[in-house]
Amino acid sequence: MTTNRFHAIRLAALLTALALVATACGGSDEGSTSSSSAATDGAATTTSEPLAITLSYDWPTVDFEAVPIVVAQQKGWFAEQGVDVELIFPPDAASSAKVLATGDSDLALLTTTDIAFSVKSELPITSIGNYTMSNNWGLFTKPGTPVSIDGLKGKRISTYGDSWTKAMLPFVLDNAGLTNKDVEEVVVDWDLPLLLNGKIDVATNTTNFMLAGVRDETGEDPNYLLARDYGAPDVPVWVYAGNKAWLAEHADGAKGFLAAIAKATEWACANPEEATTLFGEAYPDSGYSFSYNRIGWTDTCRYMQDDAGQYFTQTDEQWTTLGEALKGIGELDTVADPSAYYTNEYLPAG
Amino acid sequence: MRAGTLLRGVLTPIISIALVFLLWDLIIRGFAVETFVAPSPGETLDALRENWSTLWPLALETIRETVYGFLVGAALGFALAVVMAQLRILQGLIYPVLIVSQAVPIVAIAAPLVILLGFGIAPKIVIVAWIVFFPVAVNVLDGLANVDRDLLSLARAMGGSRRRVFLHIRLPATVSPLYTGLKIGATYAVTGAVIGELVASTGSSLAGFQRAANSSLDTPAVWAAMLLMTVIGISWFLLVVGLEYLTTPWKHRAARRRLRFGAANDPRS
Amino acid sequence: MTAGTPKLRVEGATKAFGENLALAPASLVLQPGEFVSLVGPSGCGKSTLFNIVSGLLAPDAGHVQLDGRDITGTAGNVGYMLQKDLLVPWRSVVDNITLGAALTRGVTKADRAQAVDFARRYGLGDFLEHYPHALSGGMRQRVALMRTLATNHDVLLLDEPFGALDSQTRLEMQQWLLQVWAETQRTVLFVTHDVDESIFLSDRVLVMSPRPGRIAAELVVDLPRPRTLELMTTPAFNDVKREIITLLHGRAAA
Repeated sequence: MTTNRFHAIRLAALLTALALVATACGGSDEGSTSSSSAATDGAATTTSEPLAITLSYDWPTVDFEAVPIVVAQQKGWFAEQGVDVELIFPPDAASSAKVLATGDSDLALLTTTDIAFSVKSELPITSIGNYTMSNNWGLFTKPGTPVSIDGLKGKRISTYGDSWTKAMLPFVLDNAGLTNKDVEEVVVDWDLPLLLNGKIDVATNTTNFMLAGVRDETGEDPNYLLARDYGAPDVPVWVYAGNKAWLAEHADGAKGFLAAIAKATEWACANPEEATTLFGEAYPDSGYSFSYNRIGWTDTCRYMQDDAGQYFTQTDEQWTTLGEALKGIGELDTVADPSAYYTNEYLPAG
Repeated sequence: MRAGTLLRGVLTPIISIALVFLLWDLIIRGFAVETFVAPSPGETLDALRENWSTLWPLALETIRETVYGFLVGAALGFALAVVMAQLRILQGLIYPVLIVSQAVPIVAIAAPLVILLGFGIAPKIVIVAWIVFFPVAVNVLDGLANVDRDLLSLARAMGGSRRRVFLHIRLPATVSPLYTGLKIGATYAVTGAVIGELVASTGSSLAGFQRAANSSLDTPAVWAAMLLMTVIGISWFLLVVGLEYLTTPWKHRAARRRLRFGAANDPRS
Repeated sequence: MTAGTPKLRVEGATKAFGENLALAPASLVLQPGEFVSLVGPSGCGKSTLFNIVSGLLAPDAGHVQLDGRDITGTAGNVGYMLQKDLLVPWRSVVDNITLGAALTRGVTKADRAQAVDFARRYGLGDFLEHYPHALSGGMRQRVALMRTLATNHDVLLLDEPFGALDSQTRLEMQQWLLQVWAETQRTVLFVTHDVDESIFLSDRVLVMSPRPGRIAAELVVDLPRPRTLELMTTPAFNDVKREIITLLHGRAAA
């Protein structure tokens, strides 16, 4: 799914991202020589040289969803696990999976739909842990304009024309007793200005980015309803994924990575102000304000654990549900066995 | 002579396009590029065939945007050039604005255009026109400025009125530069339409299809859409070239009508 | 030469460009049907005098009369042709010949018929619908002259019309011009710096001199017509030529 996070810096960021990918490709060769010694070492210890891991982000530019990675790096928790993570940025949102598949990165942050399609397109990648545990995608109206499931008829609704939205929107419309024909769907590149200018009635997006964007722009909160409360399946939006060949060779690296991320996520959600500050220090030129990052990160935290307080853990059901939803709109011909999409093998112990 | 023209006019472009496809295929095979990174020509054509029923109506819409925008842009560019050529002071006022308009990144104006004009065809027409009017205006203005001074003197010596001199000398003299501008515009016009589609459209569009295919990791479909956009662009360019050929017979024919006595009458032969 | 109203009269025409006096008071008279040449080095004011007669340039002083009528500073009263053929590339031969009509009042059937007639009569019959780019240099000049004739002015101003042609073609064109002139009975003012050409074509030759440009001398060419190429090798021709060259040379030495 595509959320246009910060339009103005996109072009520049795209070029930087290309440069980063290029340097990362060169850098990963050196990394692999040093990592081979770490890999033979077995259990992660702090004495041997850390395993260099390249992680491809799910967006061409950095934003607050990178907070756990930044915190783990800054606090030395990656080093504790014997890994060293470098974050790289793909040329476009859909390329993160490709960068991972070609081995230009070892791990990646992806949207769950990326994983669903990667099986169809035979990309050698797999999901190793949920980033968020539940579905924070929903329908938004601008501040002061109420949103209700019964008032959707005849409304102009923006989407990004992406598969996630195509799969999720029918559930909500169905719940309201409507079909595609009862609303005017427009495909846009960036919903925020159109929503605030009243050119669209309803925007579809995830809560963390929309809350941060609207509040940063207007100082007020948008009104929204979560799709999961209106018939849409409560499946995660983002996952951590790995290159299959790399995972086979670096099981401990993957486990170490997730262990450090778990610790960092927990800490960052407990200390959002400090975590946001750390993020701002690591990426002073991200183009986002402190408050944007804090709002976005705080909201992200609300969706990162399941009811039992667990991070990462995936279920057969979440993948089957997503697969069926995509099949239902004709984006997938068949839903593969859940094991084709994910593994819980690298979850940290305990 | 006809066979030679045919060879040069038709066969060589076909060969050069075939070479591009061959090179493309060789690169994909030679470097073992994965399909999801970049598909081969064969895979792209397969994807084009598979998605044809979806793509064709979208392509028609893109063509419509391109053609309307092109016509609006060409008319506007031509009118601006004529107005500027008539009045020096207007040229001083308008010309800098023309330059500024092209220095603005089209992506940056696309979003506000949608806010102003909505999600229909209007913003696409404006973007295409925005791209096309500039080369037309600049070339036609050049054409008007570079009409042979002696010819104008002659026309004046003949007692020609300002209006008739404009109609019979200046205006026809803009035809060649007009086509130069139109050809430049034609190659960019489709890009403009696609940018417009990317920013916002009601329902589906060629650019939207491409983005959706990209988000579902269907790279061959992305390239199929790209190929289709390219073909639309090239076709439009060729159409302009063809129109130029038909409307400027003096450039390539000895006589206006068919020669009555064959080439033997050609004094140059 | 004194009987009746002259076809063209220029009296005391003067023109200065800034400080530079391009044309000192110049006067000349052309009788109906006369062929008069202006010869002189570059910078002698030929073109200035020409532009004044054609009406493209208003003189600082003096005036121009056509059939006794004042036409000073008004264009469209005389035929006008330059060394550059200035054919319009997108118009066919016939359409180039009718250009004058198109620029003044619109082309009529009669204009086209006349153009076709001119073209047929003077060796362009097979090229009526040809575009200029398909014609040789000589043919293009023929079309240009036809275009000048088709404006139906009695006076033709020809400014080095054959200057860009090779000598062979030029000789042909000169004879052809004499034929056209004889048949159409126009009055011609012809500018050239080719002395042979001026003698061969003209009834009178006006020698101009520079700084400031002025008409320095006049010579009557009393050679029989119709003239043929043989004339150019006769002693009588050479006598006139010697006289003109002396006049030109004398000026250059001064």
